[in-house]
Amino acid sequence: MVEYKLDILGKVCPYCLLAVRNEMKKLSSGDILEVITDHPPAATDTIPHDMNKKGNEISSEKLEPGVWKLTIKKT
Amino acid sequence: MADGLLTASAAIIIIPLVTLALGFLIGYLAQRSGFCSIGGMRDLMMFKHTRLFFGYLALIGGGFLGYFLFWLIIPSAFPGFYWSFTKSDPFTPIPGAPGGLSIISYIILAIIGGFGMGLIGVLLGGCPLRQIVMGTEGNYRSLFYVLGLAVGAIIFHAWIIELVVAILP
Repeated sequence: MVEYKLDILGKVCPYCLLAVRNEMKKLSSGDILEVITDHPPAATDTIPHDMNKKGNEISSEKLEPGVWKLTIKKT
Repeated sequence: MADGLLTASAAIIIIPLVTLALGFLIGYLAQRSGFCSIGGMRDLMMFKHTRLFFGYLALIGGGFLGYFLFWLIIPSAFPGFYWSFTKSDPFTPIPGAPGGLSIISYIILAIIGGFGMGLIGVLLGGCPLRQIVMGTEGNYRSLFYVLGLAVGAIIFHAWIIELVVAILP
């Protein structure tokens, strides 16, 4: 299992989801990607929605007001 | 206001207050929902996400319904509003639209304006309403977008509009 990190602070839609999708291509099954974002729609809607649709596991943690850490496990 | 519902002196106070209250409400809902018209199209085409797109449809439907309801309650408040395309002038309600051009010219202007607004909106992450919301969230690029929109409108209406009217049929 390899852990990847992706910092997309300051980026807005649609870059957030595009960057996560591109990064996910590098992962093998079981690998984990940690995403740091401060864009609310990406953190609460687009990325979780897209990852759930693709069958990946995703959990969200609020690091501070307006900043989220998304942990995605590729299945 | 129309139909004697409000006196002129009361309307001067009440209308801005109602507008301000509705502005707060709409702004709050737009922030909570992440509403974005350009984003709706973008997400639908790029990611096949329909959530924002349904919000966009709801805006069009809600606007149409709201307009219709107000028209039913106070018909004289919308004297230029008809259900027939031939009877009404669909371009009159657009603030600052140059008058007297042919339909083709308006279509050309709409395509240029829509393309420009759409392209810049996608590059910056949202429609003008979304940019205002993101500006209040602390995104300074969005504030520059809003500022640029205002400055662009002033430049267009001060100088470019005459050129457009002269060139187009």
